[in-house]
Amino acid sequence: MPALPLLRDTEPRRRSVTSQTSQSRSRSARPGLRVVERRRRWPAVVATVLWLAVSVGLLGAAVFHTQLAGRQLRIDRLERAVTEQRELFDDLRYQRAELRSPVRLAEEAGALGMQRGSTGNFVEIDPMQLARQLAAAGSVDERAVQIIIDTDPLDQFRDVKSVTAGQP
Amino acid sequence: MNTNTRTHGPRTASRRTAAPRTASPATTPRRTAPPRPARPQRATAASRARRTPLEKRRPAGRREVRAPRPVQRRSRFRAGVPRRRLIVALIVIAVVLGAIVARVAALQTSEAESLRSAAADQWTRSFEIPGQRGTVFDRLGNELSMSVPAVTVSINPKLIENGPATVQLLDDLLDLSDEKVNDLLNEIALKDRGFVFVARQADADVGDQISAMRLAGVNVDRESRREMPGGDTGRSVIGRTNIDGVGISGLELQFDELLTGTGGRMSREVAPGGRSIPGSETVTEQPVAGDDLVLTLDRSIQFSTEQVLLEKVSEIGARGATAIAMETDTGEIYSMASVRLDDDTGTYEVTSGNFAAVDAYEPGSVAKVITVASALSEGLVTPDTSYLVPWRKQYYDDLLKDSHQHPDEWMSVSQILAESSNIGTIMVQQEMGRWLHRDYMAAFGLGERTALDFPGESPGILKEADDLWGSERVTVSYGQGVSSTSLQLVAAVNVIANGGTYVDPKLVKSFVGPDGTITEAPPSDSRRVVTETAAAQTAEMMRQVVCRGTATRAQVEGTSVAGKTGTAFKAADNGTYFDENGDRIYYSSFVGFFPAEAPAVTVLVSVDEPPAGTNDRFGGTAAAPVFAELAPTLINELGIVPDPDAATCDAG
Repeated sequence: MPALPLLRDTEPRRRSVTSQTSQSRSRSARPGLRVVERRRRWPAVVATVLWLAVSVGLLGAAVFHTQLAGRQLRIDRLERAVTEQRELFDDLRYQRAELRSPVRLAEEAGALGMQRGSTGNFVEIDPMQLARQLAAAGSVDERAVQIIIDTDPLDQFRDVKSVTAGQP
Repeated sequence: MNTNTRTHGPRTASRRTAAPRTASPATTPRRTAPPRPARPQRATAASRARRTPLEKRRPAGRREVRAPRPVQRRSRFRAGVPRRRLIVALIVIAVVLGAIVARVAALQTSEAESLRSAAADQWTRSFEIPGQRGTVFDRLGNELSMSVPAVTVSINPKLIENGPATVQLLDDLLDLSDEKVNDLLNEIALKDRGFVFVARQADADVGDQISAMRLAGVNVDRESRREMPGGDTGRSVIGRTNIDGVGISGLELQFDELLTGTGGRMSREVAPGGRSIPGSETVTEQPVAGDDLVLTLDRSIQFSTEQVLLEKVSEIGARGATAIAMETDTGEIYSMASVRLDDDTGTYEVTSGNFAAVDAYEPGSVAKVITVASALSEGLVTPDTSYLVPWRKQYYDDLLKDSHQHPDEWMSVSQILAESSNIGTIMVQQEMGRWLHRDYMAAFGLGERTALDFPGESPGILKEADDLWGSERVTVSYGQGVSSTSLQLVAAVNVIANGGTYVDPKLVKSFVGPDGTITEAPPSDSRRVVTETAAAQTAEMMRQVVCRGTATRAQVEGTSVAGKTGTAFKAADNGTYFDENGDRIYYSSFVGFFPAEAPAVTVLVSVDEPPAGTNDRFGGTAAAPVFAELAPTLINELGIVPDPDAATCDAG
């Protein structure tokens, strides 16, 4: 057991002998070291964070504005499309009203040699004929005396108007 | 140790401060050197051999750093300590950056709006966009009047590059008049105005073509144009707008504010030359569309009414005519037509003025219905009450006559009405006195504007009983000395058809709001005027008028009709009842309703100035046939199914 401490004592001594020259050599080769105070790094950190925040903020603002402009362009496009479609709807309404107008119908009928009747008679309608007509064109009113076309122009107009409310 | 430190140590402050106190052979000469830095000397081979390995790696110039420096210089270089320099630079950068950020923030927030508007003023032009004018529908939702897309084309002569070519192009597309072309060329040559209209309310397709060409100085602005898809159908009632879309007559005028809506604003970018940039329009303030009107008119009935009137006045050569068809129990007007001879063209056409509501004439014998019904309602007479009626009689300063000569005869009240006896009607009026009779005429709606409050509507003339002069005191009983519009008269006679209750005429059924919701117009006000019994008795008498009296031409096959004719003298501009040729001027009318047993529709037809010398001057010959011609259309369109058990003229 006591041999071990002896060995421990001799070994460093031997090593110190050999290392003294190398130590002195390294001391002469290495710059002198000393303990310096730790540099305060928080200003740099704060500055970096600040710079990052500002950069991100500016970048974000740019992106936001780009997005905003993009969306606005899209909204403008949609509004223009709505306006165009509404104008088209009005144009088609006008054409339909013209086609259905009694003035045109009378002219067309006159061209076909038809005349306005001087009397009117109410006739019984064959139920099967009525059913066929209903299936093809619409429904009858409450008293079942006249056929009503389902597509009421006023209702169509109201539907479109309710959708485009607030549009130019 | 110290030597090593001085020779090989890093550039630390301690080394710099110690350097002046040391003396080495190599540095001594330099200590006596002038204060300015010494020029680096080339190292000798011996000195290079003495260098340590670290020293060998160092460039020769660095040796100057180790040179001793004067204290003054050393303190000056202390400001250049890198750490401090970095901090100062950081602070400067931070301040500058902060200033930039603050400025950007200010630009984006507090100053943003003013800057944005200032910039926008430079490259945008703002203008008002009108709210879309509402549509006028008939009772079934058919468009009677509506706005369609159109454009206004204008030029800025100062910006036109090739005037003649541009004008030629616009002329080709817009079909301009020669006068307009010359005006444009002159304006472009003068270049003293910045805005000149080329065309208003042009087709939108043409406007798109012009826009696509991107002509310098040519602007195309969207607007709308008022159109009636059914031609002139209903024009008298609907009226019209001016070129700016503002109602100037009829319902367009009456409901102008409602139809117009609220305007918005639109901005448009302009190029440096002042030319508009297509597609750059941005709506800055949304316009609100006007309400839509749903009328009680029926387009088909309106058209038929106008057609039969046109045919009749053309046939007999009258000056004009009016007609009104009204739902008996609600007062809703199915049609209200007015036609007149255009003196310039010599043709008959639907008028833009609604003479049925605007013009007042003496109603003539139609007013006898009011006199008889009033007396019946007061219980002063019955249908069978008889009077000995001469064909003429002196009243005050006038010798008044019946329409035809007849011996003195006993006539019942029914006969008086059926044969339209003036003298007999005066006798009935005298039973109740002119004051009570006047009150009844007012209760029937004469002398005041109807609830329609139509633009320009006439109240007619109904004098107070005490203001009547001479024979007027009695002639008002048969419709002379009092004047009324066709509208007032049909509403008055409708009292009889409606069981003795007056109901206000109605033209607007509902409104469609900007969001498409429908708001029903309030129902017409009504008031009882005569008893139900009196109304029924009068209606029966009127049925006899059609079956056996003066209105046999108003009979309609399959339907019982009640009515009364009227042939009045019309006052001329010269204050008499005669024209410049000495001929009487007539105003003939017929008012009736059907089916007589359960009236659904009341119709008035008035013919203005039928030819005096012919048989067509009477209400029974000029107006009653129009009623008979119009009735089948009404029956068909309204689905009025005849009652097979109803009494007809043949049966009864």
